[in-house]
Amino acid sequence: MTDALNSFVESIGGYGVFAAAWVWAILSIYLIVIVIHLFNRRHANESVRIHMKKKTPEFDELIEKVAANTSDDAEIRRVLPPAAFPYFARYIEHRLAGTGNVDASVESTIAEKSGFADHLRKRIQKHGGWKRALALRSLSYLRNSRDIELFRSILETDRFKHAIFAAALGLGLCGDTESLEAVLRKLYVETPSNRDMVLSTLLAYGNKGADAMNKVLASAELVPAVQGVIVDFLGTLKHRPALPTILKLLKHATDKEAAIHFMEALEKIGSEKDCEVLLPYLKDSDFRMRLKAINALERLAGSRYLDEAEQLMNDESPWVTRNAAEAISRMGPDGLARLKALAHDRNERKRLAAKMVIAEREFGRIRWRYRYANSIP
Amino acid sequence: MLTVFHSVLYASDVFVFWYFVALNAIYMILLGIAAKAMYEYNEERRIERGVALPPEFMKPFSVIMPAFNEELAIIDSVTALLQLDYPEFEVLVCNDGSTDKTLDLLKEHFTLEKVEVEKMDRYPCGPVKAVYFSRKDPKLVVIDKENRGKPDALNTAACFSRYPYICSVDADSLLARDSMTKLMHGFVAVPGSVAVGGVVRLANGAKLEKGQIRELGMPRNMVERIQIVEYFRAFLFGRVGFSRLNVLLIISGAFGVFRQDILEQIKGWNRKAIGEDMELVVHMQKLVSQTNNRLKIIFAPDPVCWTQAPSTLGLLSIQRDRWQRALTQCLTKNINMFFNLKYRNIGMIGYPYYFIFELLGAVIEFIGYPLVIMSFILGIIDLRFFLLFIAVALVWGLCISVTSLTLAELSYKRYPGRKALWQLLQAALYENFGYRQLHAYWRFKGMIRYIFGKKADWGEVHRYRFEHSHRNEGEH
Repeated sequence: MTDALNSFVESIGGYGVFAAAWVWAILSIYLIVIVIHLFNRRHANESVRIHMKKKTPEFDELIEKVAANTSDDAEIRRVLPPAAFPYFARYIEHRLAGTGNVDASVESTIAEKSGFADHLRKRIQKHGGWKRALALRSLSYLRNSRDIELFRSILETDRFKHAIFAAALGLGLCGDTESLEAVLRKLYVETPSNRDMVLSTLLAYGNKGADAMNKVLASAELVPAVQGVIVDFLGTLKHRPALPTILKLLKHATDKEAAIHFMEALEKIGSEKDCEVLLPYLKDSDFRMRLKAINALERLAGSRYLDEAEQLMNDESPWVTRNAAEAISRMGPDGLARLKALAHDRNERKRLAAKMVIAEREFGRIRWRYRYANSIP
Repeated sequence: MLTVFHSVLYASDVFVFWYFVALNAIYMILLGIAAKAMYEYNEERRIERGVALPPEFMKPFSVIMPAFNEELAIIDSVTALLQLDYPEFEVLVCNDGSTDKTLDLLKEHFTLEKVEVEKMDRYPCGPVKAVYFSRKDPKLVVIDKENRGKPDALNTAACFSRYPYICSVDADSLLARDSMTKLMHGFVAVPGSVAVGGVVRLANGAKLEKGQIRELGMPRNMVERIQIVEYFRAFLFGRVGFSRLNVLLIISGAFGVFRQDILEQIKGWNRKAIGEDMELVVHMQKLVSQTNNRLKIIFAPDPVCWTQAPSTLGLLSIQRDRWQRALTQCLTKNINMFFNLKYRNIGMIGYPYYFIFELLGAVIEFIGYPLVIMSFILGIIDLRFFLLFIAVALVWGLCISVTSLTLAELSYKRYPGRKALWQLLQAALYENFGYRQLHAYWRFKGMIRYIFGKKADWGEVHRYRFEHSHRNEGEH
């Protein structure tokens, strides 16, 4: 028995003992390599920082000169040789990031004349994965309509999520509204993107995209999730021509998630006469519907729905109770008087919510969303 | 008889040896996963640069901060929170019956006024003494209550929250200004996220200016430096790797955001738990595992929370003892998850890992080191076995610590200069040759203390004043 145990453990341990020298050698080599890599990485990080510090004023000056037409091609190539392309990529990343209306014509001219733009286009053709995606994103900052075909072809052919995203952004920033449907299809239906990222991408199209998007919303057979994103986009841009479509969608909505977005958009672009469509949602079984409906009603019709809001202060969901109290507090003098009375109500839910909202108003603790809503023209 | 004793000892040596092989192999796999994840995370951030949701679509959150005798750090911590770069949030501090000047300082510094409001009982918690709103910053609410422990304070603050996401933060921690933007991005980047954890790093040695870390200095004390390496390892590859495998079992109580509807379903933080943070995530994982991977608990390697770490071995031992008791309580209470297919990845990978390597590992490591040394002295194992054990248990561990330092090079805010790198390498060496063995003892002690009834004792906790940069001192 003992012999058997001995030979068993010897056999297990034996393999380990035999490998001792190899393990030590491998670990030592690994340790040396990783320490060298660590210092190299530190050096590379420092080097980028130092170069960026040096190059940024040079790039700033070049942009000023090109904008003033006081620079020639030779100077552009001198300040921006191929070795400086990685730094210029970072520079425009900081300078031109954002999906707002940015004029990138000077940077685009510099990129074309220095060969930087061609360098990016070659990288896009030659590489795949992250390298392609990053090059596409850099190219998108330049907002050059010459690259629309390239972005479109990547959107159609590439399967890497981030490259598709970068190409879609490029198309948006170039204002290519013709590609909107393709972008939506690719980003939402074929690639597992989330709705917030799709919305961010669509916002790159800005106001130019609103009409096209409204047409897509009205005409195409879209899944509710896509409808929700488009409606968010139109609501954010306060695109009033979309109102009839939104009202129609809300009236016949079967998907609750989508209905939430329709109500939010309606709150932004609707008016008092659009309230009827919201009333059934005050009695919806989903608390989010009741909450959104009362917010929208208050926003669109002021104190007209004061009684309905008070009823919701006895809702089973504390979220609805609070929202209803906040809605009443924004319903002018009538609303405030009602809320003060409710602070002494026998009903505990109503009393707690009313007292909290009154105190919050006194200290300026107003939820930002409603400050935003107040600023809507 | 002696032969049997030798055989058992030898078998134990072989077991301990293979335990370390398995542990370090798992670490290496996690390192690989984490390195890939961090690379991708950084590239993704570059691609998404400048692409943001309009502010009205950014998810608002409530920060809740329990505070018990935090007079030294509370003003800096709350100031940092109120400066967060985010369109909409609130800060709820729950003074958990402090016996020092925590409440008085808050009242004075933030011009607090008592308000007549009552608590909505959404989470189980004790009575509230008073609620204060701030005249200085409308985002701040302070709740005063009797001392009933951290989970009760968290639940109390959560009862007053008015946003759909809740972020729990420790009172000795500082959030970087952009940390919440990055942390909340987790809910955008990964659809179905119900909780997102962020990186916790050491504020020891750092200098503050206007509530933010301005200068990241290396602490002078080796105990603190070792903890820097330890935190890098735990957060930058441990949690990033586990998150990628969807088996994250802990989000630090110092820094994590939770979806409030999920938090309501599990009735908030367990008031009887020693480690309420782990207990919460385990409960959430149980819930999440029933949703066929539709919901997720994730970890973001970029958002940073700075916290104070114990600066002496004595204080560190108390903290680690408590952590081990918390782990023991949580894992033994949820033993039904062990290799339980019903809980999917978390039951088959996450829980077994924590049970074998974090819980039982304390016993194996504590007994393992002296056992192998004794076997070598008694001649039961030869020099080659002994050297092989050293290589596998310690040198491999050193390799892993150093590799995690390279991951830190990919992360936000690095310790400047080559000298700092050498100091961290030195700390990694001490960590594996000395500290790790001591740590095994503390963990073992904590487990034994839990088994023999010392369950809820928090022990001594020391707080320090954050170090301010000279400019800021002048301003004060």
